[in-house]
Amino acid sequence: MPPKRSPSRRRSTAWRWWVLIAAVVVAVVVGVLVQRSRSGTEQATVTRPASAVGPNGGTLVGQANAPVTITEYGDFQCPVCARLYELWSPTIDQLVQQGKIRFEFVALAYLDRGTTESARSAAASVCAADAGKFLEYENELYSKQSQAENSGYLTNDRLVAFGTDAGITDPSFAKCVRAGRYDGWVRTNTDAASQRGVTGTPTVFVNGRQISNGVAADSAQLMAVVDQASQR
Amino acid sequence: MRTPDTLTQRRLPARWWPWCSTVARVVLAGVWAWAGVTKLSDPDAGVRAVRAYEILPEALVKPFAWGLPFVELVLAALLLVGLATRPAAWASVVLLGVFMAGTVAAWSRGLQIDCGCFGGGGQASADGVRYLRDLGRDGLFLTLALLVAAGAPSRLALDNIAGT
Repeated sequence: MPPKRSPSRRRSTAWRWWVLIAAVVVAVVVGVLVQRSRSGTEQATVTRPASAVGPNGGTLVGQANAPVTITEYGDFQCPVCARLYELWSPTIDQLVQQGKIRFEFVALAYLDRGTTESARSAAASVCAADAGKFLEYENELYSKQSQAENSGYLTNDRLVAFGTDAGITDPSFAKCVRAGRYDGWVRTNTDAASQRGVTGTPTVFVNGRQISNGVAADSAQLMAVVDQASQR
Repeated sequence: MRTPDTLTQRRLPARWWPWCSTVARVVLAGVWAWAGVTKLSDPDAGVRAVRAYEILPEALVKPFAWGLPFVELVLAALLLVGLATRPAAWASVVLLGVFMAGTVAAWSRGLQIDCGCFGGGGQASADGVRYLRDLGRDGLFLTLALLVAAGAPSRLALDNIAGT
C-alpha cells in the first residue's frame, strides 16, 4: 500500500490535470482547423445547374405546375435506392406523364467515406440533367450499380461511358463530369438534407411530408398518397 | 490512494493490480486511436453523424464533430505513454458516459441511426439490438477506464518518472 500523502504531495499531481486540459483544448482547436480545411462542403465552389431545379435543390422532372411534388433524397451507391428505383419508377413515370406530379431527385453524397464516388456520380447526374437525359442517366447508374460501395467502381471514365449509353451526345457532358462542375452544388444539397433531418437514403417526401419507403415502393399506396396530397 | 483492499486481498495479489491498470490503459488507448482515426477520413460524414442525434444545436455540431477525433487521439496518446494517466482515464469515463447518454437518447426517441462510433454514421438501419450492442461495448470500455482512473497506479507510465 502506498504511504499516506502529505497535502503538499497531493497538490503536486495537479499538473496532470493541466496537461489533460491543455491537450484537449489544443486538440479541439487543431481539429476544427484541420477538418474545416479538408471538408468538401466548406471548400465547395457552388455552380447552379442550367437544368430545372426543385425546391430542395434536386433535379426536377415533369411539369413545373403539377399539384404534387415527390422529392427523393438518394445516393447512387445506395442499394436500397436502386431497389426503390426498380420498384417505383414505372409508377413515377406514369404520374409524371399524367401531369399529377413533378419528381425531384436530390442526389446526395451520403455513402462516401473519405471517397468521392457518391459525390461525383451525383454531380454527373446533374450534368446529365443539363443534357436533358436525367432519367436515362439515373437508369444507367442504378441498373449498373456495383455490389460494393466505395470500391473505386464509379470512375470518371465510367460515369462518362454511362452518359454515352444513356444517349447523351453533347461533348460538354464529359467536360462537365470530369471538371466536377456540380460537386459543390451536390455538397451543398447534401448538407442541407442533413440539416433537414434526412439521416439515410432513400428518403421520400410528398409535398413536404415524409412517407415510408414501403409506401413509396407500393404502386397502389403511392398513388393513394398522391391523390390525397393533391386534394389537400 | 484508493486501492480496492478487499479485492486485492481476496482475489488478486496486490502487486498484480498495477499491471492490470497497464493492460487496461493500453487497450483503451487502442480503442481511442481506432475511434479517432476512423472518424478523421471524412469531415462531412462526421458532421452528419453528430447532427443525426438531434441533440446539439447547429452552432456546436461542427466543433464537436471535428474536435472529437483529435480529442480521442490525444486520449489515446496520453494513455499509451502513461502521461496524466488518471485525468485521461477520467476524461475517458466522461466521454464514454456522453456517448452512452447519446445512444440512449437516440434510442428512446426512436431515431434510426448508426452511432458513428468508429466513423460513418447517420445511415438509417439501427434497431434495439444494435443500440444494446453499442451500449454494452461502451460499458465494457467504461469499466476499463474506471479501472485506470480509480485503481492502482499503472506500471510502465511516464507519470512514474515525471513525479507523483
